[in-house]
Amino acid sequence: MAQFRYLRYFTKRYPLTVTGAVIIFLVVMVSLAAPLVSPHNPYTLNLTDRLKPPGSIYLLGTDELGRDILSRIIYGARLSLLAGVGIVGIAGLFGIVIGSVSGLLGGKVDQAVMRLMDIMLAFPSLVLALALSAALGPNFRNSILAIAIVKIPVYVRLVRGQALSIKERQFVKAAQTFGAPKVWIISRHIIPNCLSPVVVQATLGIGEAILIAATLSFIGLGAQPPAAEWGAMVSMGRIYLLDQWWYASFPGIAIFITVIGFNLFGDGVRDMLDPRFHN
Amino acid sequence: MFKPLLSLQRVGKEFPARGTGKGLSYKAVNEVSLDICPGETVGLVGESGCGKSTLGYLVLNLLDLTSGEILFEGQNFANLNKDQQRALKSQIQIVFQDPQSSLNPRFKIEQIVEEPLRLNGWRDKQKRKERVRQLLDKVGLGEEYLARFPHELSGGQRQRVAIARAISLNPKLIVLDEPTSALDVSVQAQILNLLKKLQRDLNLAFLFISHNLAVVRHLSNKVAVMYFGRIIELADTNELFNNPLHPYTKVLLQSIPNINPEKPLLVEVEGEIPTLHKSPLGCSFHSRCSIANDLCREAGPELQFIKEGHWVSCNAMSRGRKE
Amino acid sequence: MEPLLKISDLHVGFLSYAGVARVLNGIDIELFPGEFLGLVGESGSGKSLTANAVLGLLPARSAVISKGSIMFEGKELIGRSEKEFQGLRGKKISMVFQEPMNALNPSYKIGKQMVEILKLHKGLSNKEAKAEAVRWLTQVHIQNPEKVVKEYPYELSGGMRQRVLLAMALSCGSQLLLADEPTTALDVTIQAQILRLMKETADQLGTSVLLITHDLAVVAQTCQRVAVMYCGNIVESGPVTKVLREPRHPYTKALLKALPNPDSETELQSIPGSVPNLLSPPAGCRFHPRCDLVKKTCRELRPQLTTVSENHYVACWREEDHV
Repeated sequence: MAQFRYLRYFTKRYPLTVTGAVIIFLVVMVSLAAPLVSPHNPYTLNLTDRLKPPGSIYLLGTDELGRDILSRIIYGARLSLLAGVGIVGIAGLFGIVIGSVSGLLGGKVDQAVMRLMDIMLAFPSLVLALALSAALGPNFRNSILAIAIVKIPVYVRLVRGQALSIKERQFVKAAQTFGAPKVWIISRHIIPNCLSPVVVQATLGIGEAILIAATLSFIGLGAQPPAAEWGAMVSMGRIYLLDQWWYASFPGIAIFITVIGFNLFGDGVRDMLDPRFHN
Repeated sequence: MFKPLLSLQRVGKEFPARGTGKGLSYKAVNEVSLDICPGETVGLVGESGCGKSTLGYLVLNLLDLTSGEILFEGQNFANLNKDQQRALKSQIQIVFQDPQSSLNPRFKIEQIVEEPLRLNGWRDKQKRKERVRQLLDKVGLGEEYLARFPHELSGGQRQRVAIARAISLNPKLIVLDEPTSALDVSVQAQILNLLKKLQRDLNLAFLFISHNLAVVRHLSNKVAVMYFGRIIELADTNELFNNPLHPYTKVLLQSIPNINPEKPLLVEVEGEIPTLHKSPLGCSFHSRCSIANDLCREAGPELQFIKEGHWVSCNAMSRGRKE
Repeated sequence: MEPLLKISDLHVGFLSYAGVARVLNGIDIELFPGEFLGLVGESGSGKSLTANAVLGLLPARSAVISKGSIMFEGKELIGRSEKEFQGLRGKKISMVFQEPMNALNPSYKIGKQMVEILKLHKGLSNKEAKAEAVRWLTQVHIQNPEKVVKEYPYELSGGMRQRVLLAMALSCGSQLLLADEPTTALDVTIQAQILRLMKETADQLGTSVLLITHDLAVVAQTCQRVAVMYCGNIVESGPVTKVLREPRHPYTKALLKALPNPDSETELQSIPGSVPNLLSPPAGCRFHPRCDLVKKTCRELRPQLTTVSENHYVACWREEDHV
C-alpha cells in the first residue's frame, strides 16, 4: 500500500522520469523475451519477400535479404543494451578504482593520472574510439572495449573530485585515528560514498554509449553482418532510404527511443540523489 | 603532582599561506604548552580561527608538528615504530562536532562501532558483536539500533554512537571537538551528562574544545583560552571564571549573554578578530585591547606563572608586578 | 495599541509522499510596534517557518496554509500574490539570516547591492542611493564605509557581513525585521556587538523585531517578550522576565534546567526522548510523551493558550489544577 502510494505520488510529480523508466523496462523485457515475442527468425533469409513494406505479415517490413525488420530490431535490443551497460560498467569500474586511489594519495601519482586523463579527454571521443576500435580489430566486443576505454576519464575525474572531498570528511579522520590503512579507507569509506554521482553519470552515459556503439557499427567498425545491430541496420538501410524508407527508419527510431529513455531516467536519478530533493 | 598523561611542549604548526605570495606561512598554533593529567578535563576555548581545532588534530597525530613535541605517557609519537604508533593512536580518540559528518552514512551502526575493533585485532566476530552491544549499552542505546543507518537516528543518538566508537578501544584521552554545538539544548544536556558519567567510569581524560563557555565551565577542571594560535590564559576553571586576568578573557566572559535579563550584556571590545593574513606584530590582541601600550605593539608576551593554577600571557601582568 | 503583526491560529502543512507533516499547528503571535519579540525553540519547532510564512516564502509546491491568518498593519497577508509580496519584502518587512554569506550575492560589490534595493524601493537616483548606502553603513558602525561599498562580500568578516545585511534590511524603512538566528554563526564577542547594534538601531528607528533563536540567553538580553515554540505550537508566551524567571510550561522549565548553570555543579537535567516525527505527531499536547506531569487530558486534547497572569500565556492542562 505504501509502495503504491509512493508510486502514484512519484508518477504525478516526476512524469518524465517514470516515462524513461517505463521505456527502459519495456526495452529490457523485450530483449530478454526476444525468442518469444519476435514474429520471425531474425537471421532467416527469405529472398521472395525482399524489401517488403510494412504489412500484416511483416509489421515493419523486410530488408534486402527478406529478413523481418521487427524481429531484427527486437534482437538488436540485446546488443544495444549489452553495449550500453558493458561500456558504462567497464568505464565506471576502472574510473572508480583509478579515481579514488588518485584522489586519496594525491601528490605526484594524482598529477600523473590526471594529466593522462586530460590528454585522453583532449581527443574527440568518437575519433579516439574509432582509432582504438580499428586497431583492436573491427568486431562488436572490441568496439565496446574501445568505447569503454575512451569513457574512463569521465569517471576518473568524477570519482577523484568526490574522493578529494570525502577524504576531508570527519568519518575518514576518525578512521585514521583508529589506525585504518589506506586500502581500508578507499574500499570502506571513499568508494561507497562516491557511488551516487557515478550511478547518475552511468545512467546518463548508457544512452550516449548506445549511440556511439551504433555509430561504430554504422561505420563498419562494430558489430559485423549478419548481426542484428541497430546501427548496422541503419547503415545497410541508408541506400534504400528513398524508396524503402522503413528499412533505415525503424532501427533509427529504436535507437532514438532507447536513448531518450535512458536520458530521461538518468535526469530523474540525478534529481533523486541530490540531497536537496528530499525536502 | 600527577604525572601528565599528555604533555604539549612548545608545540607549533605552520600552514603555507595561499594567495599571499611565495614561501609565506602562518602559524595556526604557536608555542603552545599544556599538560593533561589522567582523568581530568581540560577545556580549550577561543573564537573561530584561533587554532583550537588544529591543536586537537595535532594531539591526535592527524597532522605533523612544525615545532615542539607532544609526549603521551612520556613517549614521543615521532620516535616510535609503526606498531607502537598504532598502539598509541588507539589511546587517543576523538568525538567531532557534527555526528552527521563523522559517521559514514553507508555503514550501519554496528559497522560503525565495530570499525575500530576490526582494525585493532578483534578477529572473533562473536566477541566483536558482544563488545559492540556492550558499548551501545554504555552510551544508552539499545540493541535495536545495531541494524540502523545514521540518517535514521536523531542528532543526539548519532552523537552517542560517535561516543561509543570513541571509547571502543579503551582510550585514555578523548579529544572532544565541539561535541554539543550542533545539538539542541535539551539534547546537549543528555550528552554532557553521558560524557561525565563515562569519564568517571572509565577514568578518561578529555581535551574539550568549544566556543561555548558555559558548557566548558560545566565540564572542565581547568581551562585554556586561545587567541590567534597561542594560549593566552590557563587556569583552574573556577579561578578563570571568577578571576580572569587577561583582557581578552575578560572580554570573552563579558560577551556571554546571561539568562538573567537584569544582568545586561557589556560589550567592551570593538573591532574584529585579526585574520591570518593581517597578523599583528607584538601581542596578537593589542589591536582590540583597551590597555595596550607601545610595548604590546612590539613584543609578544610569554605565558607566565601568576599563582598556583593560573598562568597568563600579558605584558600588563609583568608590568604590574614590577611596579 | 494595534499590533503591527498578528498571526492567529496559523496551520501549515508540508506535503510529502508519506503524508502531510503538520509543521505549524495553530500559532498565535502578536507583535506590537517597536517591540522585540523572541521566538524560541529547538530545531524542527517551526520557528523559521513562521518567519517564512510571514514573508510569503513558503515553497508553493509543497507547503499548504490550511487555516489561520497573518495580519500585517491590519491587512491580511495570506492569499496575496507573489507580486504583492515582492512589494512588501525589503520595503516593509525585511529579514536577516543566520548565514549572511548566503544572503549576499557573491559577485556584486556591497555598494551595488545596497544601491539596487534603494533604487527599487525608494525610487532614489543612483547618486542619492550611493550616499544613502554610505549613510546606512555608518549607522551600523562600519568604519570607513566608503571603502566597504567597493568591496565584495567575501572580503568582509562574518560580523561585518551581518552589519551590512542589517543596514540593507533597515535602509528602506521596514517596520518589521525578521531576524532568523542572526548571531548563531558568529563568535561570542561579535555576537555581543551585533546584538547591541540590533537593539540600538531598532530602538532608534522604532522597528519591530521578531528574533528567532534557539538561545534563551540571547532572548533574555534583547527581547521584551518571548514566545516558546515546541513542535509547531506555541506553548508559552509572555514578558521575558516572567517566562524566564517563573516558567509555567513543563517544556520551558525543562529547557531552562538543561542549560549549564555556573552556580550549580549538579548534573544537568535533560529532557528525555526526542522531538516527535511531525508526520504522525502525538495526539493531544504534542509534548506529552516527554512530560513528567502528563495526565489523561494531555493525551487526548490539545491545550490552548490561557492567561496565567498579565500578558503571560501558557498552553498546558496542568494549569487547570492550579485554579
